[in-house]
Amino acid sequence: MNAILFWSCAVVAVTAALFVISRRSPLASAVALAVNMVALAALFAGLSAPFLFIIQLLVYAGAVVVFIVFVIMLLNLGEEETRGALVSRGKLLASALACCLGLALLLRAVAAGTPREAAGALPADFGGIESIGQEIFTRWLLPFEVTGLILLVGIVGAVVLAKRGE
Amino acid sequence: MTSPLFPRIDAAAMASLLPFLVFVVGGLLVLLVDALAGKRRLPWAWIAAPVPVVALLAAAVRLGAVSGLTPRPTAFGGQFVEDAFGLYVTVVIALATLSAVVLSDVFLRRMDRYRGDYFALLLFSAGGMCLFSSSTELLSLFLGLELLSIPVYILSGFFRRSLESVEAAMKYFLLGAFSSALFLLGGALVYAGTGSTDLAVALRGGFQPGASGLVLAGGLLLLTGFLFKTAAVPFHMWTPDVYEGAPTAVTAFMAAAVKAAAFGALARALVVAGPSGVPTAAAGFLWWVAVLTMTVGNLAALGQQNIKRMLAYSSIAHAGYMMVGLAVFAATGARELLAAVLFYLLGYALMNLGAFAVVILWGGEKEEHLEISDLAGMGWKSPTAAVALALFMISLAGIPPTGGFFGKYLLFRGAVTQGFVPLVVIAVLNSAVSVYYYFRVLVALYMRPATRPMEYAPSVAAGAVIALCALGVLVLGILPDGLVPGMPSSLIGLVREAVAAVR
Repeated sequence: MNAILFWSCAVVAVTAALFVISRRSPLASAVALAVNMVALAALFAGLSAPFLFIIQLLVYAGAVVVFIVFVIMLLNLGEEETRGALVSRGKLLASALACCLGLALLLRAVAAGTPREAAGALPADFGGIESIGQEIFTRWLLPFEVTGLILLVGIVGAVVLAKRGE
Repeated sequence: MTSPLFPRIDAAAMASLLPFLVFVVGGLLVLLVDALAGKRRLPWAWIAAPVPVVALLAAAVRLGAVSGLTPRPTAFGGQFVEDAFGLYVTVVIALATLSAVVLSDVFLRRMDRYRGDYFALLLFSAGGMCLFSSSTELLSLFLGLELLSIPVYILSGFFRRSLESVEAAMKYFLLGAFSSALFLLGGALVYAGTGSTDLAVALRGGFQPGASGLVLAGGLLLLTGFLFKTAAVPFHMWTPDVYEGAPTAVTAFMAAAVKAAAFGALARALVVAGPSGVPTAAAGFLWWVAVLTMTVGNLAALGQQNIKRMLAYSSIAHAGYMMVGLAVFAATGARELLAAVLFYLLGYALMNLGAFAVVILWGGEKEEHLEISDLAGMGWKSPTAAVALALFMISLAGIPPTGGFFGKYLLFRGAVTQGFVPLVVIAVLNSAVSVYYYFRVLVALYMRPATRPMEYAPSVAAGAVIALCALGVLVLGILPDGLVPGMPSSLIGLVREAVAAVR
């Protein structure tokens, strides 16, 4: 059951990701991104991480994608803006090289053995809100606080770069 | 669970975070004052300048407190390591931040965009650098990387009306975000392969025979993220455009502080990974990166007319020299080379900050387009600054009696001792090539008739930075071994001690 869920979600996620980068219309890319996010959320559900599953749906598939669509609408980006040669010879060469490298890494990773199995049974509360809260506010407190700073910097940056009338 | 990661948040843990906290709290205070001040114009640089000074003092005090301590003091369960190595890098970062703040005062007033949030972003970025160069845990390492990068992306595009500035910000942001994503993917693969985000645990065990290939793939991707920030070939393409287009004070900050943090973090990662964590293939890869970075940087710098672009390519070349140290360390584990890299970092930061300060002093409003030929006659029109610029160029070329010479000497001597003769021959040849373009500046300064000498407004602040950097470069070049008579250890002794402290 888990394997079926994993493979179907994985295929959907990768296909949607390919659509995100290959569509000419930004709106189509945004919709593909939403599909990709939902597939990822389902993967989280399969990994017994219910909290991440809900957050992924609410924040990423919901809020973030809506904002992206908002911006696309506001800027009125049509296909016209993105016309022009999407693929040049240099780009083709570079992506071929990147694909070869990626494939080599992948093969090496697969050939060297499967990832470790999860050690033992999961604790009863694994992936729940309470256990995640415990981890964030004890063991991972420093990264958590730094994340807050990074978000603050992002907000300041948006104001600095986008404020009118200067 | 691989290591006891539960944090005890007590006074000791907070004290070991001190320089980081000073930068971050300072940035928050500047933002707060900015919000309260409304439309009033306050002397932002003088509000922000005490922060790096306090951070510098804090780092110096902690350096005294931690020297000789074993085991290493860690905070937050090892996510933040306080040792002489990290504190030394923090000192370099604080010096560069102080210079950047003072230079920004001159620069922003002239460009009529004098705002508080600019300085807050500078301070946040410096805080991120402290975290980045003092962390051995993948998650906080990544967050440090982001906290240092995002403000610099924004600051590069601070002049929204300037097409070059916006282009620089866009280019740096897109490529930087991409490299961060690769870094994150690398971290995820390493975690998947070993079940730990602690670098020491993950990389040390990860390359044992029979270990998962995920770790090799992940380790290479992590290396990519580091190399991007150090502007090493083949991840250097963004450097000239970004250095040219960004506000010059920000360029100086990038050239000195970002590079110091990136080299500090990479060197620490190599040490922590240990000999078993750096496979032979990776050491060989670093050898090639060093050779290519030196050669590409120097050859491309030869043809540059624009001073900022020339300094950008020169910074790539210098990253190559420092990479020589890291490559030899990765192959042999000789810590002497890392001490040389630390010494080099300080000298490199000083001479670049000084050179960019002169560009800011003379540049006027069109300083992105300041060309080497524009310097004609400045040797007689502005003799003091010209002498300082000449000194920085001599130091960059690696000629005694300057800090640049001693940095190269320590690096190359260490590499020869370890038997890396071909690598050193290539490096010395590169240094010889670089003399050509550094001396073009000297020729323009003193031997070309002034057709149209530049007008510039004298500035005490820029002058102070130039004087400080010139003094530092000279002291490093003349007295590298006995910096201050009363101090317990000389600079060379200090960097050796710092490197020995990493584990």
